[in-house]
Amino acid sequence: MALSKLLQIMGLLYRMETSDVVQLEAQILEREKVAWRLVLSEQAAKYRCTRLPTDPRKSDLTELKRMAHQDAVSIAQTWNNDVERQLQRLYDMNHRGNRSYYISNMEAWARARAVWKDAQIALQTEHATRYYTRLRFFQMNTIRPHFKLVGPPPVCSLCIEQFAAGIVDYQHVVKFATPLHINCPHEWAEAVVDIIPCDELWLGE
Amino acid sequence: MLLAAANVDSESLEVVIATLDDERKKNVRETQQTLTRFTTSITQRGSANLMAMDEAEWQRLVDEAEAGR
Repeated sequence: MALSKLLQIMGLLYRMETSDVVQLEAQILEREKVAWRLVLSEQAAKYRCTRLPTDPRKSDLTELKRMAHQDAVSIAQTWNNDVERQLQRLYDMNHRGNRSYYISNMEAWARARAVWKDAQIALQTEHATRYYTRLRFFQMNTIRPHFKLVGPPPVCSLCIEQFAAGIVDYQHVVKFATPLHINCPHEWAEAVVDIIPCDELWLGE
Repeated sequence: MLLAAANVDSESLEVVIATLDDERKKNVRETQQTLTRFTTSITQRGSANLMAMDEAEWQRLVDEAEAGR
């Protein structure tokens, strides 16, 4: 059934526009940069190196921007679809609802949605950035090509399968990007920590 | 064997976040807050624009939607 003009107009009022996506993308990129620095500091510590990592630059910055853009577009699309569905639901519950009815219910809905949805997106964004950064660290430091999945004991078939794979090579890590699924707590780590002198360790361009 | 050792809730959102180390948890929570501030501003903008709509226009839209059902 076609949306009434009433629902179309309210949908336009509550939707995320292209300019919102641009703004959101910039905010996500800043969070990705924090994750980038954290991962490289962790990795440096693993190699007993106290040097500070550099901020992402050149191809790494381009890739993080691409990821931020993709996330922002996806967040906006999901938001706009959810808004449309929620407005329809509110209309179906009360055809003569006044503006206060829609305003109070849309705000309550957005608050409730944020509790789980924003946490889920935040975790996914952090995990995807970690994966990319670790991959770059492994690649640039020509780490011995042996990796294993680390984290809590697995409970789903996807993670059980990757735990059971045991020690894997770099291509396997590239093929099975983490997070393996939404809310996945696992990631790839070096099976053996090589000895790399601190001044030779790549910690960003 | 692996399942026997596993906490079945270990892949629930809150458990995953709670078990991250402090720095990661802080980053995830700050990202979450950034997103929530953002969607709150979108919702408030929508509400303000809806409130700013002319009452006669609003009634016309409600009547039109009702007539089209």
